[in-house]
Amino acid sequence: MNYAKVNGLAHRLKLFKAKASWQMFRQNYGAVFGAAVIIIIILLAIIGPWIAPYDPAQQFSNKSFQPPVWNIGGSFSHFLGTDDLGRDLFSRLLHGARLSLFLSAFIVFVSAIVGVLIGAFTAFLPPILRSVVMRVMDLMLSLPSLILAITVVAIIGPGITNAAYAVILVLIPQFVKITQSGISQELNKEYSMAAKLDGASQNRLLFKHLGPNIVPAIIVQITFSFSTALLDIAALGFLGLGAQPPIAEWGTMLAESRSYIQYAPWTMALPGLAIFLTILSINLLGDGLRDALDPQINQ
Amino acid sequence: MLISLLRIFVTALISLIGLTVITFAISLQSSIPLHDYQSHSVFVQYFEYLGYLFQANWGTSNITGSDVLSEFLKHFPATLELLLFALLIVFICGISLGIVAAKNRGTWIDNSVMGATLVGYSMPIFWWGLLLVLFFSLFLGIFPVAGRIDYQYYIEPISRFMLVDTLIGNHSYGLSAFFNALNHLILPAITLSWVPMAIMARMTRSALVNILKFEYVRTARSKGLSENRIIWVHALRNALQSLLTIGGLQISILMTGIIITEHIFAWPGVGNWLLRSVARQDYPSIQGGILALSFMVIIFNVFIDIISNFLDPKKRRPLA
Repeated sequence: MNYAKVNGLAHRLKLFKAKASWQMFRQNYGAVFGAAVIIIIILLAIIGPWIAPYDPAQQFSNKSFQPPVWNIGGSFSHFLGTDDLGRDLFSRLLHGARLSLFLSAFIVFVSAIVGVLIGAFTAFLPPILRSVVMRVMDLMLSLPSLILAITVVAIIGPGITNAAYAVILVLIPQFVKITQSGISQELNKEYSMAAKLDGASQNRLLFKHLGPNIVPAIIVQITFSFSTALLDIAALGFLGLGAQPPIAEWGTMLAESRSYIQYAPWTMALPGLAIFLTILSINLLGDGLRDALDPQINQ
Repeated sequence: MLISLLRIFVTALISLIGLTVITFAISLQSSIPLHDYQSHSVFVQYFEYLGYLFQANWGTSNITGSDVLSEFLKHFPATLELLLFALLIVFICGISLGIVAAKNRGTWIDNSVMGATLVGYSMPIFWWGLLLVLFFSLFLGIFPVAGRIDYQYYIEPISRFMLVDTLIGNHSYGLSAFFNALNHLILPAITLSWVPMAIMARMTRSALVNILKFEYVRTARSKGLSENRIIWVHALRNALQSLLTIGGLQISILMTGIIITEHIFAWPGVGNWLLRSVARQDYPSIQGGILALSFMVIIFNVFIDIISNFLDPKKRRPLA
């Protein structure tokens, strides 16, 4: 068989695999639902400032605790109601979506890059050094994420940027572990041995041969890390260690609403629902991606 | 066997060293030094710090002036009580839900249990706790909103476990104090156990479904054993090891959850104390709280590792 023919076959196999993944993903209704909801939320976050009826910090002091439109006393001027200071909840939720999504995306982006780089670097270290790095990662993984985040916040002080640093640190070890174990496993397989014997350089081996086999696991990890980041930022905000009032952040809004849950339950229900829906759809999407990209099912 | 045990201990030791380095770094933030260090070098001070920790001298709080370790021990029973109660719910409800789903796999029961658990593990517990309070405490009025026991009861702290103290303590309230304490425990425990329970149910189901495909299950079926006996005696026994490992991972989630839960329900435990200390920049207490909580997680993981080591037939050889 000549070289071009082999290459062509490999290309067709790749296309077939991608198609099979897509087929699997499409048949998973949960994943499609998750993807749809998450796309809607991302769109809302992007166009938020243009569709928000009011400024998220604007206070209508004569309209505090106005219920949502479907309740008695609600009106279309504030159709999701207002909070204790008379701020429009819909505008605040949109602002919160923007903040939570963009911040989580940034956090996951940074921690994925740092984690994958450390992991790839560690995989080529001598065994003793490698196990030292991995034990440090194990320590960070064995500590509950919120305790680690609280530790970081305790050292550098509360606030939304510091909370973001804390969550970045919390998310790195997973990426390190996945990349390191992925590379170590793939390096021992026959195809990478064959590539090495063929005279492939380290870079070619890493990016051309190992990469495609590790990337799916990293993509799945990115989805789950995204939901962890969102949840942890909201949890830190709720505990008063993350975003500080008057920033419109979902967790902080939930914390502010705690005193009024009997009197104005919508101020508690809506931010929580936003967090819950976002996390649920990311998890559904992540499950679907994992099933669709799992090489064992794909074979 | 011996080698794998040794590996577990070495890993735990490295974790503990790393942990003390972190907490030492926190204690350095304190404007008043935590202990009277002899040396000026931070490196030597770390070893002095370790020495003080072993002498049960964890420093004194900047704010209250009380001993950090005794402060921790005062708050700890409340946390442990909630944690154990929640762990009980996680194991009993989680595993039974998983078994029910696995037994009826492919039917609507399986689908609804799996759907519910999917919703369960995506639930932010700080919202879930507030929803439970809104519905059960404020709307229905069944459970109290917060605290460990009503103010009309004065219970002498003996073991500091409210459920135990109300039973063995010398007071005139009779059993009503005990049931009051139990009533206070239910909502926090449900809040705390929600996410781990959902994960446990999913994992039990997938472990059982995998095992039920094995040949020996078919053999058991062809021998005419009932489906119940197959699941409870044959399949669960082999799922136990993976369930235990997953259960061990849940402790980390529970520890995260307990801080949030204590915050929601004003539960006078370690999590609330830690949050209060962070708000007051009471670095000696933060250091102590993080040290103690993380120490517990590490020790618990060691236990789980050892037990699953013993359960693994491949490693179960005579200690030689």
